[in-house]
Parts: sequence; C-alpha cells; structure tokens
Amino acid sequence: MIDESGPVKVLIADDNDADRMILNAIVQKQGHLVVMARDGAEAVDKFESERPHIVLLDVLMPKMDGYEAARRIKEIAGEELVPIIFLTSIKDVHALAECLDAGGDDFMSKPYNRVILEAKLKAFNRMRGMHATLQHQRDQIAIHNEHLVHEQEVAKAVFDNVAHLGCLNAKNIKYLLSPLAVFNGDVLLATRKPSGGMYVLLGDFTGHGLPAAIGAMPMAEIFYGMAIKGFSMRDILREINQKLKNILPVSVFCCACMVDMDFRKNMIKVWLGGLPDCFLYRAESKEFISIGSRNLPLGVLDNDFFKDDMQIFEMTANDRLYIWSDGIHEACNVNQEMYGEERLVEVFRQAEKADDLFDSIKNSVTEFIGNTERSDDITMVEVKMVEEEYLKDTALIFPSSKSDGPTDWAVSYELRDDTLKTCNPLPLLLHIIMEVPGLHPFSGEVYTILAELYSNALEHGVINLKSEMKSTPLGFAKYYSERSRLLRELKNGFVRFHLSHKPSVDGGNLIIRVEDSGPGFGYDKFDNPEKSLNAYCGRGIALIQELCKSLQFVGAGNIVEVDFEWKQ
Amino acid sequence: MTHVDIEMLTELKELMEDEFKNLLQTYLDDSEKHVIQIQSAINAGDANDVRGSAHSLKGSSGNLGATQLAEFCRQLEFMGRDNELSAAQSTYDTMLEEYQIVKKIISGELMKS
Repeated sequence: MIDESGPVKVLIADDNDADRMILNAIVQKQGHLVVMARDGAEAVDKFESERPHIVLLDVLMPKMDGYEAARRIKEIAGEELVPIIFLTSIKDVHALAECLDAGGDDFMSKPYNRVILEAKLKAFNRMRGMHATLQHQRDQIAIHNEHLVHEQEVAKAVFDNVAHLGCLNAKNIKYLLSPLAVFNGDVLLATRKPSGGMYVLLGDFTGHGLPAAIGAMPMAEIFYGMAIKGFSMRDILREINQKLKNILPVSVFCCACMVDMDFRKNMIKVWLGGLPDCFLYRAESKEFISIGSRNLPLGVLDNDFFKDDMQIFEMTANDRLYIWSDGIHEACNVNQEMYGEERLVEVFRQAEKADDLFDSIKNSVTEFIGNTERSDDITMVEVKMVEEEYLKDTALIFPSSKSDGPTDWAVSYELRDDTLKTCNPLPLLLHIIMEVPGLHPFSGEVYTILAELYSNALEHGVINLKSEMKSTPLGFAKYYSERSRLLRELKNGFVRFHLSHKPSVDGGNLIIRVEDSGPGFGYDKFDNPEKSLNAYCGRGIALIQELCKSLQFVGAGNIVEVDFEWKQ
Repeated sequence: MTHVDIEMLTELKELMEDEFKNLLQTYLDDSEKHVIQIQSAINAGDANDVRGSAHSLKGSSGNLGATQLAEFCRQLEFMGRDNELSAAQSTYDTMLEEYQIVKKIISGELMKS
C-alpha cells in the first residue's frame, strides 16, 4: 500500500541546467525528494534505480527524447501508476498529442509556476494512492473470487461423485439441466431399479449457492443407495424427507417430484410435493393431463406427518411424463414478463409429434426469454414409457460381491397384519440372499422373483383381489384404491417366506417358498404358460417361470415354491 | 515591452535563496553556449540541432522572465522542427540582439546580489 502522506520522490529530467535548478528548488521547498537526470537515457536509468513516484520530463533532450523515456518508464512501472508530467509548452498541439501517446499524464509549460506545480504534485500523489488502493482491492477480490470458484469446483466434484447422473442417459429420458445446476438448487436423479423399473427424482431446493447444494448430497446418496437395495419409492421418500428435515435449517427445503416407472405393468406412481404440475402426455390421443402437487415439499414435516400418497397412472408405450422446476414458469423475457403455465399448455395443445415435444418446449421458452444464456437455469425432464428390453443398456450394475459368505442355509420369515400394512420386506430379504458369494450379478432377477411372489401373495392371496380388474384403465385405478382399503382393514393375514440356499460346484440353488393366508386359487391354468402370457394378470408368473428352473403351486394354490438355479 | 520581467526574477530570488547567484551564472554560461550552437547549426544547415539548442535556450530564458528572447527562440525551434531554415539567420540576428540586452540585465543582477 502507498502512504500518500509520506515524502514523494520526484524525478526531474531536463538537459538545461538552469531549468533543473529551478525545478529542484520548487519541488524541494514542498518537502519532496528529488532525483535528477540530464537526458532521457539517464532518466530511464535513474527511474530503474531510484523508483521515483512522479516524473517530470522535458520533451527535447539529448541521447533519448522525452517521449521514448516516458514509454520506457511506463513499461518498467507496469501496473503501478507513475504519473508523468511533460515539461512543454501547451501551445504546441503536435507535441501535446505525442506526449499523450507516449503515456504522459499532464503538461506544464515554462516559465514554471510554483503554485501550479504544487497543485499538480498533490493531485497526482492522491491519484497514486487511490490507484494503489484500487489495485489492492482488485487483487483481494480476485483472490476471493478464485477461492470461491475453487470451493465451488471442489463442492461440485464431490457432488458429482455422490449425485452422479445415474441413468439420465437412458434412451427413454430427455432432460435439461445446467452443468452447475446444483448451485441454483436443482437436482435431477435417475436410476434403474433391481426389478427392472426406474426411479426419477427432480428436486428444487430453496435458495442458491452452497446452501442449496448441501441438501442435495444426502438426497442423492439416499436415493441411489436405497434404490439399488430394492427399497420402495415410499421408503426412499420418507428417508429423504426425514434426513432433510433433520439437517436443513427451517428456511431450506426441497420441492420435489419422484416417479416410479414400471415398464412391465406399464404404470407409473407419482409423488409430487411443491413443484409445478407435471404433465402426462398421451402419444396416441395427443391428450395430456396435468398432475398436481398434493404434498408439502421434502424436509418440511417430520415423518409422522409426512404424506406419502402416490398418484398411480397407467401409461402405454410412447406416452411421456414431463417434470420441471419452476424455472420454466418463471423464466422472464426482456420486459420482465414470466413464461407462465399458459404458454406451456399452449405448446402441448399445438404438439404434432410426441417425439418433438421436448424440443418444442425448450425452443418456446428460449425464444420467449430471447437470451440463450439464461436458459441454463431451466431444469426439465421427459420420461417415456417403453418396453423394458429397450433399456437394457442402462440396466442396474451391482457392486462386485464378497469372496466368502454363507452358502448353505435356510431362513423363515413371517409377516403379519401390521407388518403387511406398512412394511416392505423385500430389501431385507434381498440383503440376506445377496450375502451368498457370487450371487450379486443376479440380484435383479432375484429381486424380480421376490417382488412378483410377494405381490401375488399379498394382493391375490392375503387380500384376495382379482387381477382381472386391472384390464381397463378405470378398473386399474379401482384396483389400487381397493388394495389400500383391504390392507387397512386386514385381520389375521400373513405371508411366510421360506428361503434356502444350497451351493453347487459353480453356483447354487435358491429355493423360495411363499405361503399366504389366502384361500388359494386354481393354478391349473399355469400348466400352460403360453395361454396366460398375454393376460394382464399372468405376466408376473410367466416372468418367474422364465427366470426359474421350476415353479410349483402347493396346497390350495396359496403356497408357491420356485427353484432359482444360478451359475457363475 | 520589457526585456526581463523583474517581478519574476524577484520571485526566483526568493525561491532559490543562496542558489540564486549560481542560477544566474549557470544561465549565462548555458545561454552563451546555446547561442553559439544555434549559429553553427544554422551554418551547417542542421535543423535538428537548431531545434534542440533553441528549445533549451527558450526554456531557461522563459523561466528567468526573458519573455521576448524566449519567443524568438521558439520561432527558431519551430523552424528547426519544420526543417525550414531559410529565415533562420534573420530571426537569429534579431534573437542575438535581444540576447545581448538580456545578458546585460542578468549580469547586472548577478553583480547586485
């Protein structure tokens, strides 16, 4: 920092001895230090060795003229402000222009006036002080900014490891997400499920910057961690909600939408809390329905009060679901008007081809705001209903398994009324089974088998619902409301799992036996699986038959036993 | 028109204090040299030298209050700058006349102090 109150060192460069004497006297009388030079070359040398603060330069000097000396001095001074006052007549316009070109800051003509020179020295000294302060502050800002950017980069790198893109690259997903979205509070996560389905979660945290990004980390970790273990959407949402509620300050929460896509049953479950309405677009009829938020955002209520009601929709192949943060609705044009939902609805009305809809929305918003840079703030995802086979590129990859563990064992597990009403036993059972060394690569199949057997036992056994109900969209909805009601009223129901595993030379046999409290059913029809393959209700059983070495019904049909044979 | 502004000279005396005599002597020595240099530069047709010496004499003369002399020097300096020396000799002669007067006055001052 420059102390502008201290003595100022002034370089006087003039080849005329008498003039130099006069200037020297004036400057010294003002209490400044003087360094003198007789020509331009000496002036540059003296500047380098003495580092004066202000330079008084004659224009015409032997060896090197004042212009050249000024250029060199400015070059040596670099970022430091060294005012140069040319000693020349201000009547000579050519000379003045040349002085300015050479970096001169001011002029003074002979005869020298003490008062004017004093005023000039004072003013330039003050300017030096301000310049130094400015540069110091600029450097501070640059350092702080660099620090901030570095912190954000580290945070982003950590976040990217935790909240990787999951299966957002799947062929049925299109999305818009700024590369730095985590710092505007938006999170987009997607993963395949062990059962072959898919979870998509779009979150919009309140606030910006690091505070908004902080909640995204546990959210992503829970999402991916629980999804791979086979937890239901309800369990995942509750876990995220409680976690966010515990760790975030009251003013920070997360508006979110989570979707559970079932590509086998062609249905989706949607949970929406605080985000704008999602749109479900029917490719065939070109109709669309809007799905409204029925819940508070994540991280607001304790789990005791948290509502995990799902909205269930049937979705045929090529239908699409659109989820977005309020970035689209609130995107402003130059006149500060918001894009709003009406324009969005209009895009859907005008849509000709489902395949173009995503780009139409994007273009419409971009065109509206008229500035492509700001469209970075928009987060949106389109998920398409497809055949599961279509997504085999993005099937879930399980971590490699341990080399030793239990191979020869059996376990029984009975679930009774309260458990059946509220709990999902599958993650626990899958966890036990996956302790078998080498079995990990088959966890998708095993999960599918367990899930199908369990839902059959619960829905068609314990509460005795008829799956034929689901063959129409209306019945579909009725089926799920009946399911909830019957489960609520359940008495003396049970589902018993009996699992046993026997090792073989290069794999093993996993026997899964599931018994339920229901009356059983006519299982003869499954002797001919071809016949039932096309039936809505028979899908699960057909799938299990494909995956297992054998499947048999026992007793009244309320017991089913499968043998899953696996080889490494 | 006065040849030397006495008021300016008095101010200079106050400013320079003990150095005032030294300043006047330096001026007399320097100006003598410059006057000779200008003449030889004109003779040699060296416009650049005319310009340099006239510039130097102009500055110091102006500082001592010899305004008229400074003006003749300025004319010579510009002739040198513009490389147009045809009228230089006649301007030089006028300048020399003025210089002799200024020299007398300054010398007188030097004797006084």
